[in-house]
Amino acid sequence: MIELRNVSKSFDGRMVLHDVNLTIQTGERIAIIGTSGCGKSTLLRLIMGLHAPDAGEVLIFGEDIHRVSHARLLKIRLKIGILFQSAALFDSMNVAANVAFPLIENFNIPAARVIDRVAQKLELVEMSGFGEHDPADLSGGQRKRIGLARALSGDPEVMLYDEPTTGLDPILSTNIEDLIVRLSRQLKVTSIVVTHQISTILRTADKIYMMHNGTLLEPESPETIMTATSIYGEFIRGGLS
Amino acid sequence: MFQYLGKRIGTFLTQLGQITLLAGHACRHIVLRPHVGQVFEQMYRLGVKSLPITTVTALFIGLAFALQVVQEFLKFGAGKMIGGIVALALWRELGPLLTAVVVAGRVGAAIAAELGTMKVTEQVEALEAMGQDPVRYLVAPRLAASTLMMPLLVGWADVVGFFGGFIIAIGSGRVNPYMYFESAQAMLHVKDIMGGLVKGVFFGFFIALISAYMGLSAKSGAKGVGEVTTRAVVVSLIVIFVLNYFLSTALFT
Repeated sequence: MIELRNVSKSFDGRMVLHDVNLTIQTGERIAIIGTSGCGKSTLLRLIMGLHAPDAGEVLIFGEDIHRVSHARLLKIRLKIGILFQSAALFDSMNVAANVAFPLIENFNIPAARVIDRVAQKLELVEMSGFGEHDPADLSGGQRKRIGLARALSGDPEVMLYDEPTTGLDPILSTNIEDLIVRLSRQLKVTSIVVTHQISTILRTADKIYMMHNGTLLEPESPETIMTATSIYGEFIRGGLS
Repeated sequence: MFQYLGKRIGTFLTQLGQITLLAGHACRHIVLRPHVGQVFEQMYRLGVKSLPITTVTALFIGLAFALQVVQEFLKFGAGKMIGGIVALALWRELGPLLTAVVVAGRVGAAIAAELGTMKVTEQVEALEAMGQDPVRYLVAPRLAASTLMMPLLVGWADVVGFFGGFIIAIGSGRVNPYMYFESAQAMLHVKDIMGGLVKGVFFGFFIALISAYMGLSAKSGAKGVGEVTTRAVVVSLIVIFVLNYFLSTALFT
């Protein structure tokens, strides 16, 4: 479903990703961990087609998204939802308009159905009744939930989560982590979670990849990662200490 | 020294190329696939909401300009020409130029700050991620709205400024109201009115284009947004003054 082949990317002469290979099957739930600035978010942006690789291919549903036309890329993106680190809600719109935005702009759906879909997605993220609120009036956790509702409004086949729990208190983090797992199970969505939060890694992923020196290491499972002696172990223990 | 100069020239040419591409991309969307709802919203935000500040500015420019003209012209017994001189100065130069300066400060800063904030808070990326072209959704409507509304603001400023001149001329007690309008009618031609409005079209286009480009190139949080907002206004003002000279040369000589 998603395949990265020998992907490299550098910014201002600094190599961020070097010869990265990754294959993700339909319905998988993976986490990508690594230190801050190691290139995790860049990887998500490459999958979304927001950055172009310097070398290699990024295949989404069998198509190299950096070789297709811009119009085709926009269509492919509709099958992918992304929760940004800052939630990236549009300040100029209220919560309901934010969630409705992809439906209104991308799909020819009657207004009544848009309203229903917005209500349904807000209920899914346990934010019913917040439709009229402005994003500026919400807490960090609430903003992330609304960002999630918006990302899910077009019923994507793949969900990308960029640091979904960073900066949240433990209770809110747990809520968001539960939500990611629940959505993946309920909606059969393929999930890629980029994070350096240990609890998020352990609670949301079936398979964990670590990004180190611009490359992806062989994956570990949540069961084995705690006792791993490799660099995974060092990262997790460092994180726990 | 040469290395520094070469680098600055290289950066300038790169930015010029990028801004030209942005203009082409936005114009294509305006013509082929306009976001009509956004265009109307921006016409209201950029145009209608600029009316109060444009009115006040134009009125006081008209008052101040007429104050000087009335005093000097009456000394030489040329009171009959006051209306015409005020009208010509306003329609050809003062109206378009000062409206553009006001709009660059209000609208240019607003566009750069809004798009800059959207850029640094990942909202522009979010738009792309949701299958939208940010140029079509953000830049093209602002460009279209500014280009359409600016000549209307200029026309309004001309009328208000002329009225300001009228108040001063009549207040002097030595200019006949009929004479004020008659001299304006005699000296002001359709070419002068149209020339001023054409200037407005160019000024509106460049203010929105420069400000949108600056906003979309914002980096590094609030500081970056502040920097691009300042740069948008400064560059817009320089372009307005330079462009005004060339347009005046082309339109009125």
